[in-house]
Amino acid sequence: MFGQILYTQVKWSRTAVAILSIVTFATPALFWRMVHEGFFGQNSAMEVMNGFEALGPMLVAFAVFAGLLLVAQPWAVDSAARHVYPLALPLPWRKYVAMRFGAGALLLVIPAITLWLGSLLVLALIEIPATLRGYPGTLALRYLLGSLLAYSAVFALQYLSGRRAAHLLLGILIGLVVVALAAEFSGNTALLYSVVNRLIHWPGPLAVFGDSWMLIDV
Amino acid sequence: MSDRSALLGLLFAVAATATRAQSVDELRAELQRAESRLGIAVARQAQLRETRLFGSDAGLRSGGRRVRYRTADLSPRDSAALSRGLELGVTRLREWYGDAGASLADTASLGVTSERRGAFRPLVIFSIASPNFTRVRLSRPVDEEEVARFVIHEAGDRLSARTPTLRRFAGYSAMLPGPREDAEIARRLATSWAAAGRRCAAGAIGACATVAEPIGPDSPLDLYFEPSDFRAVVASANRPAIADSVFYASRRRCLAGADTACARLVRILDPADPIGDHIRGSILTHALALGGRDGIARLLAARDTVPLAALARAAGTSEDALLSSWHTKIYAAVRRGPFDLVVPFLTTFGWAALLLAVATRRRYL
Amino acid sequence: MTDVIRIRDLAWRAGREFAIRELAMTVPTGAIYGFLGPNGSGKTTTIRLMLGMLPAEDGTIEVLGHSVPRYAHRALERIGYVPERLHLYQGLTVDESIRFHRAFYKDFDDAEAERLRKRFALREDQLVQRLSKGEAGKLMMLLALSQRAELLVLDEPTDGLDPVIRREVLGALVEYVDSRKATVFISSHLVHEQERICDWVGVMDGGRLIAELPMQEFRSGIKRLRVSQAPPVGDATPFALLSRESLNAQHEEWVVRGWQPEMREWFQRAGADVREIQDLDLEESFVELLRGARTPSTTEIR
Repeated sequence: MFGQILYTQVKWSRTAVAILSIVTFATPALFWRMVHEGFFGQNSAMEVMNGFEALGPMLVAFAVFAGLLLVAQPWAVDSAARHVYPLALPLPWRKYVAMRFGAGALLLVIPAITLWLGSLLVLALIEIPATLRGYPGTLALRYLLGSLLAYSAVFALQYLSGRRAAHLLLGILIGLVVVALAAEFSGNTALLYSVVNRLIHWPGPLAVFGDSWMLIDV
Repeated sequence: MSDRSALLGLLFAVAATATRAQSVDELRAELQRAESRLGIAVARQAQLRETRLFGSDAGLRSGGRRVRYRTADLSPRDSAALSRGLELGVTRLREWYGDAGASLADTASLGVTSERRGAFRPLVIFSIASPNFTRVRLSRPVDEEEVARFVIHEAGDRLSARTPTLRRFAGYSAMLPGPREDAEIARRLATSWAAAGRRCAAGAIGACATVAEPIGPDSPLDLYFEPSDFRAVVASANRPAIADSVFYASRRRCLAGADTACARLVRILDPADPIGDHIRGSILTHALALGGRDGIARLLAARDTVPLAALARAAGTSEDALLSSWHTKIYAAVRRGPFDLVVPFLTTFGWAALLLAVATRRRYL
Repeated sequence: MTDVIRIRDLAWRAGREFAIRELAMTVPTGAIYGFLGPNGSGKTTTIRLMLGMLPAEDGTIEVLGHSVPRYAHRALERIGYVPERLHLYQGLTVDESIRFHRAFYKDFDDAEAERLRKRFALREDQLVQRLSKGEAGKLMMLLALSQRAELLVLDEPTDGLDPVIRREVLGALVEYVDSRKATVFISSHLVHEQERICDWVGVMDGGRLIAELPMQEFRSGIKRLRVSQAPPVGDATPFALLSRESLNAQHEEWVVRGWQPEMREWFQRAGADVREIQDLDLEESFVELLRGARTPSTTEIR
């Protein structure tokens, strides 16, 4: 069963996965190009570090996009027929959804691997200053975790029925508005910062995006 | 206007008004009188600022400390938290650095105002008398911990202000950077455009001793820089006192890749500090932490010595040992081990599992 | 187990009004049950409730001995379902669709699937989204039949298909039923089609099951009578009166259900006379049943 669900996932997402993989493979090389034509010449440590600094935020955006993309296509296919087919299959709905989730999550590994390979290639070509080190594996793993988180969030929203998803989104929105209004009228900015801090530091859900996404670091 | 500039101005004024040749002692006496007048002027300036900001509102007193604020800006709850934060800061200074540390904050004259800009009207706490006019934004309701941290930070400023060698060494850097600052310091050191900084980052303690001394006008450049660094030196240096046409032409050639132009230019430049106050400030903090309760007292007693020697004395250890332990500490903040990603891995999978559980709720058409 | 499907007091609503009310249905094992009703009567909704795709507001549903929707997935292992509209994944080919479907049914018959594919002239490499309506219908039927299901649930399986394809599809269905002794639940508004293959009929209208009877009775038990000196109708009437219309001062036209020849005597005893008895075809019977259900003054039919 899972084999066939994975097969359909691959069939629907192969173009997206291919594009993502090419992009993640090529992106470190693009940044290397900028560093290679550095102002101070010969890959000074500062330029190498600064040159690759924007790679992290860009990969964060790619990770979120990857998660989104891998949910969108299968969802669209099932949604076009109002999920009649999966509902008519002889397996509990939660088992179907879990397999669908697993199939998409498995495909997220591919762009992470190509990112790792692209990073290795760049690190092999670049002369890394003695005070710095490359972290291709760590970066690729963070990318994978980031895309998994984005994928899970979008997946949950999509696969909840329309009313429940709308209620959940509305609840989150109302919660944010209430916190913001409370902070405004009471002047208690600590509440807002506290909420944000809990989200972006471990074990908050957004912590993986707040960590260091550096390919080259000390 | 900084007090240094004011002092120089006064000095020139004194020199300019000299109607006859004066002895060194006479000039020294004139300087002392000028300094005294400068001190009075600075105090008067602080008083005027205080009156302008707070009018006749009394504020509060806590030990030897005075905190001015407008009654309308601070609720009774916030002023109580402010008072407790002051106590907490002084208590911590006493715990870590003994009476010498506590005394740095004992006579603080602080002000608290409400910022009008922005939607959240945060408070700002600052040292009224601090030459650097250090300011920190506080959230509402006032958090004692934030106030305590400010007190310690401001005490660091006072420490630097009291010891001219330290002022030159570390500027007005924070007294207690945390692990995040350590990581940033490690990065700055590793990416320094001075070879000495990079050698220090790589673990050469001798190079750390070099960069611990700020670059002076007479400092030999080859102690800090290698020829490959010259272009960076030229790009970041202050403009020297030579004709514009000579300087800019040479600079353009250097930045375009002419190494000889760079080598010639660096001889006449006043290079910018490649290390920065923040990094030296962390050495200062580390020295005080090693020194314990007597650290500050020892540091203040060693005012006239070379900064690194003074810090080593404060730490109660040798210069090399101080730098070595400091290096280990900052690099511990960026050390990565094989298990660093275990927590992120497990946490992300935990959240993914939770979201999956939400998604698998029974669905109908 | 004598009944494959048993539904009691089923109720469901989409908005404020109840779309399905007090529905009770029984489908015996081995029956070919024709589920008739006009468009919008609730047939597809009832099927979806039966398969656990919609949650009922009230009532009980039992299919192949499993309570639905709680254990719908267990029942679905033994059900071949052909919905009203194409529900398969459009981006797959015919061959991929068969392989996908096969993965979920342990009794899936590959040889039968291949045989039907050739019989229906479906190319392996044809994309589902490129199939015509008829081809899509054939593919869905192929999948349902290849499962070797005990119960086939077919929702308008031949709707919109040309007569040739319709014959192919129904032919395959009849063969399957003959060989497997399966139960078939087939929903349609095409009455004549149902007449040829079904042995039980359930008629749905306005969210209610207004009649459930053997096909034989449906076919022969509804008559149009021309009655003179028409008597009043009460609880003791031996048949169900679906409609009555006055033709002239002396004669009325009655449409009755459950007619038996010996019921003439009832008229005679009442001083009336049955002048003419007309057989109705299935379509006319269906229309009269609906009319009877919608007219409040007629006698309760079930």
